Amino acid sequence: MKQTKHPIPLRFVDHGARAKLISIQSSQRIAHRLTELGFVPGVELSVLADSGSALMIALGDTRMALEYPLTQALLVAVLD
Amino acid sequence: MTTIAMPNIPFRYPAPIEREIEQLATLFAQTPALTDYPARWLAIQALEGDEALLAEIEAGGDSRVKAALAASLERLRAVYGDEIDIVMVDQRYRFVHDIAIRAVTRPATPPATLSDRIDRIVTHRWLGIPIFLVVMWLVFKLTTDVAAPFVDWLDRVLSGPVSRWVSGLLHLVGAGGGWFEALLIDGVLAGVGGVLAFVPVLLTLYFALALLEDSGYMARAAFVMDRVMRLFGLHGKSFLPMIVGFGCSVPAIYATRTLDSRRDRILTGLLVPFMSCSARLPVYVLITMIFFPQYAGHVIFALYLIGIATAVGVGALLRGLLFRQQPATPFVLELPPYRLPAPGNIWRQMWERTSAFVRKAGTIILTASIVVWLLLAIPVGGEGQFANTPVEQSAFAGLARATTPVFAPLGFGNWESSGALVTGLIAKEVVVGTLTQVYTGGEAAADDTAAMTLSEDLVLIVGDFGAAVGEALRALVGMVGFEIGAALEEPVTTGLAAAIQVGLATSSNGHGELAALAFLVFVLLYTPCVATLAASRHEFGLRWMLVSLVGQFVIAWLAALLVFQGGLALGIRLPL
Repeated sequence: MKQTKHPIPLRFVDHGARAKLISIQSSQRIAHRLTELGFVPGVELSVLADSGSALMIALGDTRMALEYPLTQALLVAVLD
Repeated sequence: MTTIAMPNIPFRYPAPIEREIEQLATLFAQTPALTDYPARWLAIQALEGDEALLAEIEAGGDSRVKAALAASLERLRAVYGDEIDIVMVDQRYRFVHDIAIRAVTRPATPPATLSDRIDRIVTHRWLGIPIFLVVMWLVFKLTTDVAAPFVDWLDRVLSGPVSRWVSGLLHLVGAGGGWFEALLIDGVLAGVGGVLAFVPVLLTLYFALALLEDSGYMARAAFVMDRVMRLFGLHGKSFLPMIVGFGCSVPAIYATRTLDSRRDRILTGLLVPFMSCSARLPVYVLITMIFFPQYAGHVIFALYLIGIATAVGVGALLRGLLFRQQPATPFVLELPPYRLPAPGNIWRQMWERTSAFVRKAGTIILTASIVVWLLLAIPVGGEGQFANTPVEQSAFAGLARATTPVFAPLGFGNWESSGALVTGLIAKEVVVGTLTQVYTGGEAAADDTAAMTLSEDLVLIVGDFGAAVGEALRALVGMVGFEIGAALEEPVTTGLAAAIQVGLATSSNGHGELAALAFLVFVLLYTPCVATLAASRHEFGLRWMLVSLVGQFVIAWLAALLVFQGGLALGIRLPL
């Protein structure tokens, strides 16, 4: 059981671990796009797969593929 | 009587935002240039920074609107900081979430769904690509082996019974035997045949693609292939058009519509033609079976790889030269849950896409066939008459001779090869037809014109169709086990083989094999067909179509030059 105090980029979260989105660190345009897709601070996410250039993320019932740079912009707190 | 109305739950933003929305909406409603859309919606879009709308306001030049928007944003910034748009989107999600929480009960940690369990294998980091390759291999087997018997059947019906009926009808009305009959049968019917030959291939290709798309697998494939597509300067979403390109470049170019940015659409559209389309295969088979009978499969496989490698190189070049200013759009893709595809949807996609091709490409191929027929019919010099000219004295031969200097450094500067490449612009399988026609004087086209009754013809058509279904089913069952040699069931007529061999040996000063290889590379890389040009003009405009046409010709020419002159310089004797 590990609990991160400081937010880390989603990119470095272990597969299967659940995490809570804290903030988005990116240009206005990309942040807007991500929030429109449902990446709003407070939602719970988990990483399901890694293709080598993108992550497959579970966001509620939605499954979303995001390229690495985008997953680096999402700062999350690991839940358990 | 009771009326049941939709529950009306008004959605309101927090008070500070609402105030600005109302103010702006009132102003927009009074601005004539902006009354096309609901004022409230416009106000929300403007506050969220919708680029298209802001540009419209900027262009409209109404200073009151601009000033009011700037003032509103200023006041909101004082409350929410810079991320007003994010706050607004967040509000909408919260509203939806609130309703959902009150209406839906669900376990705290949802169990892994069936989709997730499938994805654990299908999108696995190391298994993903091999699984994808197997799926694609099955798709190609389906489009080649299963569609082929129907293509042959169509060909037999058109060149047999239908040609006989047309000829019979013409004789009946007293117009038989002349050039008009030849035009209808060798020009128009051959053109129709050229178009219809695509139909079984496209129907099966679109069947497979619709199955993959509707089941949800296509999105997974895009995810898995994202890493590979980055080699081309593209991302996962571009992979579908590239894959379709192995079947046919025309639908592949239309498939670029699904991409987000114009940069990606054009870049993908420029690379698609390097994916060796199925119409080039007959040319590969003919030439390799003549020159490299033992290594035919290897040479053909190498050609596919050369096509892919060229696309990687051209992709890198284009990114550096033409698209430096425009970075790729980030790769974001929603992966829908797996579903059982609905037969109705599948059929609709097959039908719509195939008929769109027939409508768009059909007229072009038909026109081009008639033009070639006319060129072959018109005598130049010589003593032939219209529609009764030896091939080497036709306008076609004259035109082909004019192009030979272009191809001479590549080792295939004889007019027969040049002419075949010129007609190859119509469609690649026409290359084989033209070679046959110019080398054998069209004697292969002589059908047995034995008198057949209508009922005999019908029996033949139906019986043949049954045989085609049988063959397709056998192919479906025997999909395991891949033999490229099987594509060539009819042996090349020895006369044709010898003529092509002599032709290329002469044009290359005795290096026929090298010239054949250069010829194949050229066929692989130059413009697939006029239909592809029409598609790229339709999608990207005339300028990009010309870039594509000229660029591919230059690349094909250079690559063929490299093969032939490089081979000569290194003193390579083929086969090794």
